Amino acid sequence: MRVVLGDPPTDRELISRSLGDGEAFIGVFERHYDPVRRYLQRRVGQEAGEELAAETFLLAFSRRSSFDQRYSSAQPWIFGIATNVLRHHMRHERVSRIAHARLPREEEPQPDPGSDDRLLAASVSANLKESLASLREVDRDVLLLFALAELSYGEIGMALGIPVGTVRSRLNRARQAIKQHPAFLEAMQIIQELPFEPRSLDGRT
Amino acid sequence: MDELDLLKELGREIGRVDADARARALRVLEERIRTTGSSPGPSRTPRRRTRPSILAAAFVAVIALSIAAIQVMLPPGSGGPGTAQATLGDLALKAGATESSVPDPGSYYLYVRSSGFVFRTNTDIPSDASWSFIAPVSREKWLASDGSGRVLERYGKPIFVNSADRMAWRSAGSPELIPSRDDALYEPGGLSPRDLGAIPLDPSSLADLISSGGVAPPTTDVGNDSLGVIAALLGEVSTSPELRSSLFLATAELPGIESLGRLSDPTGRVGTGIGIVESGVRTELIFDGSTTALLSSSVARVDSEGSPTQILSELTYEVRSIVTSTHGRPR
Repeated sequence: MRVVLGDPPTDRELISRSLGDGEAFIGVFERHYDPVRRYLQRRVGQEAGEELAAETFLLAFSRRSSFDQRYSSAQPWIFGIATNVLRHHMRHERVSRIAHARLPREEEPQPDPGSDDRLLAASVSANLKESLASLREVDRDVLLLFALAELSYGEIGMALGIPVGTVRSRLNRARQAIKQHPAFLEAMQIIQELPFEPRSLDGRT
Repeated sequence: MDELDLLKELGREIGRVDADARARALRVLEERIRTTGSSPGPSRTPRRRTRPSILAAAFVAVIALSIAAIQVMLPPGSGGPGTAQATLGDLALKAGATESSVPDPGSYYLYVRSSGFVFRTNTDIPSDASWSFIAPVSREKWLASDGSGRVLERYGKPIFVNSADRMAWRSAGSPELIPSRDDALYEPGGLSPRDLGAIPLDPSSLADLISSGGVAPPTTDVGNDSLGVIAALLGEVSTSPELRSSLFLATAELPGIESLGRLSDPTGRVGTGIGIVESGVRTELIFDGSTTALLSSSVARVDSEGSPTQILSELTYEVRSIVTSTHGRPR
């Protein structure tokens, strides 16, 4: 006897099914959690990124009826939700930073003499963060969805609800702006002189 | 190596799979699924359809023409403002097509509950010392159509903006920063313009009037610049669909107004964002794209490059309803 196995259900089918049977949404989670979690962690750090990823899927579940059934993949839709969650998080981070900007800070630990490589990597990371922070939020999101989440132009457009032409122009503007930023130029210079592969650049953009 | 290659290195050490994180997130999601059953959420609820009156239809047609006129006036290639105007035009159309929810004068109150935080500066008169702080706030407002009503505010524990503020406050003898509860009644015209019917509906006239300070700013923390006044009228006042629609179109005429795309408010509700910088203060608003209700507002002082230097307020509008007294609350 031959058993014919069908194709795995698409996200559209899972989401549609989840409107009647919530458990079906777990299939969507299983498929997309890791890339979303990794993207968010690379942008805001391990702990906050994990929390935001969990929040993203809770929101996606509660808003699943708004998923556009013309698309079979939910990936752009989920990254769009993740982007909104991230923006909200960053605004609150900003408020907290501003509120505490001049409060006395704990003394920062002094580096040990053998940590030059890590210092260089940290310096690159700080420079990258500074240059990314100089971009407009909408441009930064497009740039990092492209570079870190590796979404296509079309997927970014779907995620952010903007036309592909706008994705192209924002990406182009972000790339032009960032590569002229002094902090980015410095990071490029350091990276070319690094004696190791830059595997430890901290995220948090 | 180009700029994209370098960016791809950011956080590269973060694992592609993290079984523990996945298990934790899955538990939370399963719990949510278990507690909510299979309810697909409120956005699934079909909206009651009503037959629009001829007047309402005519008004929508006028609004559509106004939007077209504004868009024609845009210079070619003006991407940002054009986007904002398209966004606001869409909101104007939706607002104009809704059924009026303005209560009868004298009989009912618009109840609005909001929460968030506000920035305050206190000054000690004898020493002329001042200190600034941010306080969490929960606010309930009962507003009659003549602009009278009641505002009940509850404040949480304040946070000093910096250590110098804390020192100044201590030097002045640590006076009370803000009362934990503030309950005030307002005479007609005290909370919003006394006669909303006198406000012009023509978007250009309305924009001019608001920009020149001709519309008394409602009591609010959204700010007293143009967008702040508009936000307060849209968020905290019972406005007719016609005025509401015109307010969106007037917003589209504000120089420097920009569309911020889809944003989520502090409670996670996704809406349409707009923003503007006026007199060194940036105001951002998020509206529900379907109902046009104001979901949240944030106001921050910004430097010459537009970067925020001090948050002044952030408010989330949680409940709007009609009640019959200044002590009534929706059930």
